[in-house]
Amino acid sequence: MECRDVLVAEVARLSGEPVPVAPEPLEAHLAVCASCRTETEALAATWDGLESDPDLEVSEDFRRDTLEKMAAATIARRGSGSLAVPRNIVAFRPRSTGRILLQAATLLLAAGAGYFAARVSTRPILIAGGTGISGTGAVVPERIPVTTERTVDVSRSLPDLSTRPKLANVAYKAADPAGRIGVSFDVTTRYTLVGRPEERGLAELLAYLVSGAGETAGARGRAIDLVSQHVKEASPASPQIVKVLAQTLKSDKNPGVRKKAADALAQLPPSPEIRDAFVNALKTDSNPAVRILAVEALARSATDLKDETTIQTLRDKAGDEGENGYIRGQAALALNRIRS
Amino acid sequence: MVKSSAMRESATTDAEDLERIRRGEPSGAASLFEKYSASLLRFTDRMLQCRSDAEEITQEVFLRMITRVEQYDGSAPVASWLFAIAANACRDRLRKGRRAGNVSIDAVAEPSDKGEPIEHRLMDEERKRAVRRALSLLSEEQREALVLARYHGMPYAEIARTLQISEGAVKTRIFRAMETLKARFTEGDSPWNAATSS
Repeated sequence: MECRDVLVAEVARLSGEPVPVAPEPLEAHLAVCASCRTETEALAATWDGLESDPDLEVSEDFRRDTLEKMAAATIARRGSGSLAVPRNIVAFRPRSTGRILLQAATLLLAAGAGYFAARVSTRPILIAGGTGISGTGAVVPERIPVTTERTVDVSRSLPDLSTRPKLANVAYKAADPAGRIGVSFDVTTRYTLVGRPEERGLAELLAYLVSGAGETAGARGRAIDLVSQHVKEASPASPQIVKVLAQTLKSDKNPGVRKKAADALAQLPPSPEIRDAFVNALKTDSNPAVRILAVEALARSATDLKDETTIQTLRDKAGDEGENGYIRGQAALALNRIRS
Repeated sequence: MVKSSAMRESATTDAEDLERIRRGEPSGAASLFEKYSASLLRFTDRMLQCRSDAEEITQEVFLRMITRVEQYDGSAPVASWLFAIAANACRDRLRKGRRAGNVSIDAVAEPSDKGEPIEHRLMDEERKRAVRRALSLLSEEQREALVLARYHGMPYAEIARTLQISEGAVKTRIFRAMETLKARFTEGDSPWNAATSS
């Protein structure tokens, strides 16, 4: 027997619990182990010493106050009608095991049928270059719907919930004259569009994301990063992308996103549309970081384009005493380069 | 030590009291208050170490008993159910107290005048304070298990049911609590020595 067993047994004894070891070996151990004798005595003294903390008595004020509140709460129960079981609540009856198994089997059968039906009927999704050829010989990509709305009659088919899809925007429809209710929900289907960024489908998608369809500034920013990466790799940007980047630089509420749009536009070959976007940003953007990018971009393009709009904007900015010194300096340097 | 069997003996009556509460009769609640208010107040007092907090929480336990009477399923004695509500309420209060930075170990030192000589009263207060300080060294989990076993005579199985832990965990918590207290009380000139030597 270990010394710890002896102490555990002593605490059990003090607590009035059955002692987990037989008395004979316990006594035998205590007879030869002085340390355990001391320890068990100390435990017993500790247990007895806790008696020094006397019990608190219930005061008359506390009793009266609590009984009053309890009476009020009990009567309130009566008034709130929580005494009787509401009529619209029925007793819970556990389903029989047979019925549960039958339902599970039905679900499995439906899931299997759904799987095979999908295998047989679903064509692979073609993003580009698949299904038809136009009169000019160009491949016409198939348009696939990404938003669908279906109404399912549960007497004919069942949704396969075996993969526990996340149901969002759940809504309930009241019963129709036939007593049929409706439960609507959205489920997410994940698509991955694969292709070069300048290809129509992907360019449209990126433009769509940059233009604000991305729910967060982060999503819009990541879309712009992707565009910037593509621009760095010297592929020509699609007009859609340029347009949406210009629009983002002009009106996105998030300065970080506007800055990314300015960065992306600055990497593109100069064009009147991009110039106008930068001119507007330099004149109106409240964020100095965006204005710095705009003045740098205009300073670079001014040397090549030498167009009047750019020069006048730089001139105005160089003389603007309320403007940031760096921006005024950049504008002045660009004008010097043009003159020389 | 003879274990308290009051909980089992009063089970039928307690169930009747709860039934009266369900029917909206205040007498059921009053009957349970008379039976358990002292025990619950002592439990909450030892857990919270502050009389006013203990009274507030004990009152809350009885009010919760009324509002949640439908949740009592009869699988445990009513006393265990009430202690379970009290233990949860104490934990919540201690958590809030920790957030607020409240420590009220010495708030328990309330003067008592029982007509005893002043030196005896001071000695009693000192012993009580020593026990309270020692109890405050225990974790909440150890303290609630020890208090239920030591001051309420609750069997380990009942403590386990009340605190919703295993019996093994109860045994471990109480053993560790006793080890901590023993170490504290055997320290040199601890007031504990004065308490035990009288």
